[in-house]
Amino acid sequence: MQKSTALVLIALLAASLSCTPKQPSDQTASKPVESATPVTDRGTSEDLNPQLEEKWEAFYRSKYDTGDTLVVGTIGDAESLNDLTHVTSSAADIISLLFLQLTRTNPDFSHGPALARSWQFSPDHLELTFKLRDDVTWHDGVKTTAQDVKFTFEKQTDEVIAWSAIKWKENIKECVVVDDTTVKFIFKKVYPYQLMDAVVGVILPKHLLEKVPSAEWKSCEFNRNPIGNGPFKFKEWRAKEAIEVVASEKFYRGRPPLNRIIFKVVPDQENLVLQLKTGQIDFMEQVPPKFFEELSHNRDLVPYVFPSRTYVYIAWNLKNSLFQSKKVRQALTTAMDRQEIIDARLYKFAEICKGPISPIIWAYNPNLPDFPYDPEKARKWLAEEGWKDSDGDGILDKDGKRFEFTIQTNQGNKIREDITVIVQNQLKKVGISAKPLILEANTFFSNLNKKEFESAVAGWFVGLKMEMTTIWHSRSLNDKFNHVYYSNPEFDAVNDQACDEMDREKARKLWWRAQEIIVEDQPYTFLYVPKQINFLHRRFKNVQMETIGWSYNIEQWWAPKDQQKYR
Amino acid sequence: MQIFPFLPGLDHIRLGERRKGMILLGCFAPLASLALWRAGIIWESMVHTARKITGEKVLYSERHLDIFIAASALLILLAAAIFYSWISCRRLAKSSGHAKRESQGLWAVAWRQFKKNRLATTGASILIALYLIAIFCPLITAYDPTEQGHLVKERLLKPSLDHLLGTDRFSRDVFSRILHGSRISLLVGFLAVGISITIGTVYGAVAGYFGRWIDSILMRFVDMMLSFPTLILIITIVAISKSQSIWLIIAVIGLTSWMGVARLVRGEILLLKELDFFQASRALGAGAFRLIFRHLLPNAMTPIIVAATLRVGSTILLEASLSYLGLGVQPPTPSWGNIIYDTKENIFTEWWMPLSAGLAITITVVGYNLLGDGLRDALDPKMRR
Amino acid sequence: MRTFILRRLLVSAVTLFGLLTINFFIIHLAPGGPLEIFDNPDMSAEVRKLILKSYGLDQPLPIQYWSYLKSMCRLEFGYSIAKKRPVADEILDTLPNTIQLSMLALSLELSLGIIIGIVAAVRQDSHLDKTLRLSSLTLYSIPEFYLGLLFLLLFAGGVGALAWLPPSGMVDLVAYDSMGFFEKLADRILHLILPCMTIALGGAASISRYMRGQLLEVIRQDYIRTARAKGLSERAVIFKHGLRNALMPIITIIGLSLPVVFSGTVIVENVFGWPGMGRVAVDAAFQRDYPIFLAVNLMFGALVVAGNLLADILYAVVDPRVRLS
Repeated sequence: MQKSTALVLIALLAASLSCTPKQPSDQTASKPVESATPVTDRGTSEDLNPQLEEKWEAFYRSKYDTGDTLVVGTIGDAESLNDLTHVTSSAADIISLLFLQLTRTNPDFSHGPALARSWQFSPDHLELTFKLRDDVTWHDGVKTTAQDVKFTFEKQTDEVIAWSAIKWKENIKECVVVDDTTVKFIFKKVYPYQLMDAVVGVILPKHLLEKVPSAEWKSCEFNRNPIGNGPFKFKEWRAKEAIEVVASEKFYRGRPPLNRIIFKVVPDQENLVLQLKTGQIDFMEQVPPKFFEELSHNRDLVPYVFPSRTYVYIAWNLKNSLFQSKKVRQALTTAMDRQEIIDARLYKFAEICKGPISPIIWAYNPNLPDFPYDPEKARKWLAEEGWKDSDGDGILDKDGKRFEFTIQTNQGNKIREDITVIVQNQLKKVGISAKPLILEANTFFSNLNKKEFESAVAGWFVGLKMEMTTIWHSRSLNDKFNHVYYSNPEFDAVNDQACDEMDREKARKLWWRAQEIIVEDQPYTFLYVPKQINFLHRRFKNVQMETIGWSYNIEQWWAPKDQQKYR
Repeated sequence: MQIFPFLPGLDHIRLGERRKGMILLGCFAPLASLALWRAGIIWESMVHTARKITGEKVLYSERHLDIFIAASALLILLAAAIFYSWISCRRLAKSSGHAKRESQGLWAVAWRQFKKNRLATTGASILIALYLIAIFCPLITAYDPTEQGHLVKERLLKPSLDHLLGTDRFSRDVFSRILHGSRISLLVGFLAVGISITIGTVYGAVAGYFGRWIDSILMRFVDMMLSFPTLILIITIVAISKSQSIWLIIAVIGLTSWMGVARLVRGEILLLKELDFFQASRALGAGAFRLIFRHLLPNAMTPIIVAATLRVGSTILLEASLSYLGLGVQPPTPSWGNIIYDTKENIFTEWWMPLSAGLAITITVVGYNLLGDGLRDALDPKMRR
Repeated sequence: MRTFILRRLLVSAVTLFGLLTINFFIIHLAPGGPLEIFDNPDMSAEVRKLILKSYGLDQPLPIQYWSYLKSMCRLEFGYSIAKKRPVADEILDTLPNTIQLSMLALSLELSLGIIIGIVAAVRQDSHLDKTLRLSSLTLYSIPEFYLGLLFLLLFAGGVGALAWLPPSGMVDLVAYDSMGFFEKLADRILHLILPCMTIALGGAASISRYMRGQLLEVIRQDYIRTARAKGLSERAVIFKHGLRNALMPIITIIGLSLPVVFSGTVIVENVFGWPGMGRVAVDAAFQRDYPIFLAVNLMFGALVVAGNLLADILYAVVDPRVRLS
C-alpha cells in the first residue's frame, strides 16, 4: 500500500501543472508529531524488520471502531488510476489504496508481506521466488494469482505502454509462473537492488486488461474505472471535482476501519486552507509553512511534520563562462545566506542541504564540507578570480564583462519564486546582479532539459535507490537530466565502482567519496531539504505519517464512534 | 500689482475668478508641500546626478534615476504652474471689466458640459491624482519598493506610522509597493488601449470607407476574432512565450481587444459617408487617405475617445486577472495585480495588503469609467438637456 | 429568411475553421511539449519517442495539421495526453457544468442589470439613480478573482466562525448520495450561489449602464412623446413602448458578451473549484495537452458562434429591416 516507489528522481515536475503546485513543493516544520522510525541500513535487505511487522500486526489484535469518512483536500485532480499510465503523485496516492504490491515498503525501506507471503533468493542470487497469498481477490470477485503478477510484469516492460518506471525492470530477464501461488523473477545480473526492482509497481488484474491492446492503454476505460485488490474499492470519479473510494469488504485482512475516503479537488490554495479551518476537509498535504502557526491554533487539527523526500538547489550552467570556475561557484554559495532563506520563507521548516544525497538514504555522507555564509570571503574569492568592480557601478566585472545573469524558475511554486527574489538581494550585496525570471512550468522544464538557462532554482524528488549516474555521470552529459553539463572523471570512476559493490560498508565509503567530489565542485548550490507539513483532523487514531508517504498505514486509521462526523 | 506671485491661484481669487483660483491653489499646494517636505531628498538627488554627469565615479542605480526624474518633474511642474498663473493673471487684469467672449466651438461646448458633470469631474480628478502619484511616488514615500528589510524580524509588520500598510513577507514596505505599482497598472492600461484603439480605428476606417467585398472580408475576420475565448487566448499566449515581460502583456492585450473598436469605427464611417460634406470633398477629388484621415476620422473621434476611456478600466482588470494566474509582471517589480497574487496567502491574517491593492485597482477603474461616462454625456449632443 | 440563415451558417463554419487553425499553430509552436512535465530519468529516449509517435507528434507540423483536419471532419477529437482518456469524455464531463454556471450567471446578470437599469432611468438623476449608478460602477470595477476571494472571506467562513455557504465544488460530496430530491436541489443551489454571484455582479453592473442609457434615449423619441400626449400612464409608456425598443440593442450586447461569459468562468472556476471546461482549457494549455486544448477551444468558439448566430436570427426576426442589409 505504498505510494509507488517507482519514480527515482522527478524534477518536481508535476510540481506545478496548472496554476498550482501539486507535488513536493518545498515546505517544512517544527516538531509536534515527528516521524518516529529511525532510518536504518536497510533498503536492499530481503529481511523483514520484525519490530515493524509486529507493530503492523498488533493493530489487527487491538480494538478499533469502524465507520466515518475521511475527506482529503488536494490541489490537482488525478489523471489515471492505472499504475502503468499515471504520472502525478495525486494519482499515486489513490492507486496505493486500491491495489496491492507484492510487498509493502516500510518507513525504514524494509519489506513487509503484502500480496506475497514470503520470498527467497536462489543460492546464486539470480532468481527470486515469491510465495503469494491464496485469499486475495479482485474487487469483482476473481482470485488474484501468479498469472496476474506475470501479466503485470509483461505490461510493465511493454515499450508501447511506456510505463514511466520501465527502467526499474531492465535487469529482470523474465517472470515465470511456477504454480498459482508461486512466481519467480529471473535477473540478468546480481546487484544490490534486486528485491526493490522486482516488487516495484502494483499488480494489475489480467482478466480485465489482457484484451486491451497495448496501444490503447493510454485511454482505456480501466484508467478511469479501476478494479483493484487493495483495502479500498473505487467508487466514483467526478472529473475535476472528487474521487471517492470505499472500504472493501472482501479485503483479505478484513475491511479497513474507515468507510470512505473522498479526495476533493480545490485548485485555489487559500480556499483549501479555508476548508481545512472550517472542517470541510479533514486532511491537507503539504500545507505552506506560512499557515502552520495559524492552523496549529485550531483545536480540531493535528500537525504531522516529517522531512520530505526532496531537496532544492540552484543549478549553475557550466557551459556559461560565468560559472566555469570552481572557485567562483564556491564563492556564489558562500555569498548566499541559506539559513536566512529557511528562516524567512520556510519558517524554519527545513534543514540546510549540503550535498546531492538525501539524509534518508543509507549512503548519505553526514560529514560533507560546507560553505557557510560569509560575504567577505565570497568577495575575496571572486577578487582572486579577477572579478572586481572597476567602473564603480556596484556590479563586479572582469575584462569588460559584468557579473550579471538570470535565475529561472517555474511559476506556480511560490517558494521557489521567492527564493529567486531573496537570492537576488543577497548576491547584490557582493556585487553580483542576478535577475529573477519566472517562467510557466512547461517552458521552464523544457529550458532545463534543453540546458538553455544561466542558472535555475529547481528541486529533485529523491528516490529510494542510491543512484547518481543519471544526473552527474559523464555518460549522461548529453542526456537531459545532467542539466548543468557536469563531468568529472574522478567522480565517474568512484560512482561506477560503487554501483556494483555488493558489500554495504565498502559501498558506503565509495558513495561518501563521490558526494565529497561533487560538493567540492559545487555545480549546484544545494539549498535545503524541506520538511513536509500536513494537517489532519483530531478524530483519526493510529495515524503514522512517514517520509515514505503520508498514507503509509491509512488502512489502519480509525475514528472512535463517539467522535465520528460522517457515516 | 500681484500680491502673491508665488502662490498660483490667490491672484485669481483676488481678481474674482474664484473657481479657477481654488482649483489652481488646490493643485499647487499639495505639490509645493511635497517639494518642501522632501526638499532634502530632491537636493541630494540633484547633487548626486550632477556628480554622475560630471563623470565622477558614483553609484547610480535605477532608483537614483527614478528619484531624479520625479524630482525634476516636480520642480518643472511647480515652475510651470507659477508661470501659467502669472501669465493668465496678467491677461485677466488687462481684460477685467470686459465680459469674456469664448468661442462656441465643439470642444469649448463639450468642456463646459464636462465641467457641469459632477461624476465626470470626480473621475477626472481621481485620475489626475493617480497619475501624479505614479510620477511622484519615489518622493511621496522614502522606501524603495524592492528593498528587503531583515527577513525575519521585519516581516509582516502591522500597519504603523513607519509603514502605513505594514510590510510584506520580504519585509518590503507595502505602501510604497502599492504607490509604485500604480505605474505598471496605469502603463498597461494606457498603452494596451492605445494599441487596440489605433489598430481598431484604422481597420474600421478602411473597412467602412472601401465597403463592398473588402468590408465583408475584414468584418468576417473581426467576427472570427470576436468568437475567441479572449481570456483563454491571452493566458495561452502569455504563458507560452519565452519571457513574461510587461511589454508582451501590453502587446497581447492590445492585439486581442481591437475588434470592438473596429466595429464601432466602421459604423460611424458608414454614417458619415452619407453626409453632404463627405460627398463634397470627394467630388473635389480628395484621395482616399486624405478623405479617411482628414475628413472621416476627426468626425468619428467622439465615440472613439469614449470607448478608449471605458476600455482602459477593463484592461487594468485584465492585467490583474493575469497576475492572479501568476502570469503578470516579473518580480520584484510591483504591480497591483501581482501584489494581490503575492499577498494572497496573507488574506486571512494580514488582510489589509491584498485589500488595499484591490481597492487601488477599483478606484482607478471607477475613475476611468466615470470619466468615460462623463465624456460621452459631454460630447454627445443628444444627451444634452 | 432562409438564405439569410444559410449565409450566416456558412460564415460561422469559416469562422470556426479559422479559429481552429490559429489555435493549432499557437499551441504547437509554443515552447515545451506534452511530455516535458512528466519527464523523469527513468524514461529512456526510445520510450519518449514511442509515446510521441503514438500521438502522431513525430510528424512534421503541416502533416499533423492535415491529419488533424481530417480527424475533425470525422468529428474525432482524439485522446488526451495528460488525462489518459478520450478527449470527448473529458469535454462531456465538464461542458455541462460550464454551461450551467455561465447560463445561470448570464440570466441573473441580465435580469439584475435590466431591472437596475430601468429603475435608474425612470428615476433619472434622483439620489436612487446616483446611488445605483455609483454602486454598480464600483462592482464592475472590482477584479473578478478578488471579488471571489472577498466572498470566500465573508460568506464561507474566512472571517469568524460562520460558514454560510459552501466554498467550493458543485455538491456536498459527503452527504449528496443520501439526499432526497429536494435536498439535492437545495444543495446544488447553495453551491451555485457564490460562483454565480461573482460572475453576475460585475456583468449586471455593465448591463444596467447600457440599459439606462438606451431607455433614456428611447424616452426622448417622438413616439414616446406621442404616447404620453395620448394620456397613457407613465408606467404604460415606459413598459409598453419604451422598454421594448430599448431592449433591442441588449440582444446584440448579449451576443457580444458571450465570449466574455464563457471564458470569464475560467477565473471563477479556479477560485471556487467549479469542475468546468475553463479549468480544462487552462490546464491543457499549461500541460501542452494539444488534443484537449484544441477541442476545448473549438468548443468555446462553437458556443460563441452559436450564440451570435442566435442573436442575429433573433434580431432579424424582431426587426425586419436587418434582413435587407
